[in-house]
Amino acid sequence: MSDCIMLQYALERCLPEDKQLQFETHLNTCEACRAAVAEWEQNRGLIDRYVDERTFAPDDAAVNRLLADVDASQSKSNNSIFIWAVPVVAVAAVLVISLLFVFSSTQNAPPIPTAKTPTIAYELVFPEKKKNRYSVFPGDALLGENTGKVLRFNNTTLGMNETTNLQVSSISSSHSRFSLSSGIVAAKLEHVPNREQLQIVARGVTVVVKGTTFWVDASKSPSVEVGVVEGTVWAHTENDKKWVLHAGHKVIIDSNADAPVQPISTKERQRIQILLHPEQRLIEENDKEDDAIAKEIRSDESPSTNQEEPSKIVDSPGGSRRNRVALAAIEELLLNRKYSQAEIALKNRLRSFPQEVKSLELLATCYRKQQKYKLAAQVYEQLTALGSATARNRARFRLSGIYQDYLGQDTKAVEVLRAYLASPPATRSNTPEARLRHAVSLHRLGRTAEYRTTLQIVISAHPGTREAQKARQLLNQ
Amino acid sequence: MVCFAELDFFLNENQHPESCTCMECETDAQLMALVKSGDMAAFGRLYVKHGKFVSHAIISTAPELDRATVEDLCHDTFISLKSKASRYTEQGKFKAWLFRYASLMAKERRRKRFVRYRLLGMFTGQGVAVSTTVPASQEVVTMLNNDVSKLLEKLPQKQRQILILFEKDGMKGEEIAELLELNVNTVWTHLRRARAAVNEWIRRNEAERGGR
Repeated sequence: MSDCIMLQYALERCLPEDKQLQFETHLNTCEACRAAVAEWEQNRGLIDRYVDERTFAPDDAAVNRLLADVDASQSKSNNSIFIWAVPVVAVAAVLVISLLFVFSSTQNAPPIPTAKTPTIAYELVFPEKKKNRYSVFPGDALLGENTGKVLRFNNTTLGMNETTNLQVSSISSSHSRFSLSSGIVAAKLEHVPNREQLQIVARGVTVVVKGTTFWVDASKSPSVEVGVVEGTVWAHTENDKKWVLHAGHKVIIDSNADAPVQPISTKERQRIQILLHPEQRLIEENDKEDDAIAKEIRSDESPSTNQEEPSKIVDSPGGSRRNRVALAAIEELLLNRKYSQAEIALKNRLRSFPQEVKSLELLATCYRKQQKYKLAAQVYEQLTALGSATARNRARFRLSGIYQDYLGQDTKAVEVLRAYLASPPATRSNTPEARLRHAVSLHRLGRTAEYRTTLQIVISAHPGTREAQKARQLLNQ
Repeated sequence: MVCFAELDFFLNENQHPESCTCMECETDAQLMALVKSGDMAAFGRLYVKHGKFVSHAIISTAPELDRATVEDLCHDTFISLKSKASRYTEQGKFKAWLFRYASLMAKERRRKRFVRYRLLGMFTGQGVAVSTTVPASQEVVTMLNNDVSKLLEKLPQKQRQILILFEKDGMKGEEIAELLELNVNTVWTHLRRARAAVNEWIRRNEAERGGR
């Protein structure tokens, strides 16, 4: 290439306008520069062509394509969350259904969660320690129910007595708010600074706590008692009266008066410890009971009168060891087809626990097996008003079968099945069969239009099931 | 329909008014602000405005790529740009940022293809031409004999980038210096060396052909 300085500047497009003219004149005279410019123009042309072949200049179509792809990528990112969420939702649904089943099997079970956004899972510590973790939803009521209850979530333990009714206002890993309408609640929080915060509202008194053990007693209407065993609690009323309670102090807050802070007694301390750790009390009681049984065996005395409270409503064979043993023995009798003996044992047991769902269910089974259908129906009728929704539905389903198959009372069967089908789907485990039974009873009652509609529902709602096949056959007949 | 901005442009001695919002006067910062607020039309305008430049940035980084791949990368660059628009803060020149981003995309594509062809070579037992040359597609494999492709691939990256930006994008030395964060004199030096290398290589190539 020529060493001409002007050529370099020209090639670098750095020549001013006047110099540009001068350079053009120079080109006419300088062979070397002309050759250099020509050479570069030619070589540049090669590179230009190569680059142009590959250069992409967006046109309207390309813009539209890009915009469409941006839309798609945005929706894809949303969908990807959805796709990821689908199995999670499915698993959650299965869990909820199984939870409902577990809840229903025991009268002392926690409340059935409603179809709201789940916020937190808790563990039932008492009356029966359950490893399953239940979801609790805002708006749910946590009830002490008969025996009291202890729940644990996020390093927080809530102890309730038998009259406790604690409404969940909001619950999350960092902030929980409950509303106490009756009974006592004792809380113990692991100290996690700036993280755990729990609020309990009772009759306008808000108790805010961070890492402590305290109780709120709303059972002494109209006042609310707040006591602190450990740490510090801040309480305030709707009238903006405030108390800072330290460990070992309590206050009985009444909306009309200035409540003085009082020291808490040892008895109150023990009461809170029992509320939070009822299993210790149970262990002590069981130990006492074991001692009593051992004494009975040693003295070879006949079994004494039942020590348990006769009014206690038990849903499942929880509670004392003797209860569990007794029910297991009855179940053994049933398994060995000794129905008459099991019937006697169950009747004896029901004298002590007249509303024990498990015993009643076993008694109904005994009657059914002994073909005492009328008696079985009576027990099932009793069961339709007892226990959890799932237990009631189980009884309804069995009762409909007895009415339909053995007692020939289709009108009653239709009524029972209607009640069954009107209940929440999660509490029903035999929906297709119940619908088919309903259809059969309707047919027997001569309600053909309803019969056909019900069969069509079975086909459309439960495709691929044996019931759907049967319904199709019945429709074709 | 009369565009008042254009009318002003002609009336005011070919000078756009300060308030002009025509595509030519719309700055990258303004466009990005609109994109940030979700204006898809502004995003389209940005694409039209800088699409070619992004293509050149890609070609100057990876000259062996075919047109379809360049288009693909250009497209991807803008999709990424859209997703990053919310985090965009005007600190330096938008064009420089875009150039660097497109170059990175091209390098990444180059690296992936390099690995893929290396692996293919291992499994098929066939040697694959690697060094600085990575076939972008079957089409490019056949074009490996293309003189210009070879030439561009042989040029150091900086020289190649400066040559394409100067010759194809018509950018000034100062602009390129700013874009590549180089001294202006370094840009001129690279440009001269690139030109000299191109001329020499073509001369030698022609001589070799003539010799055969």
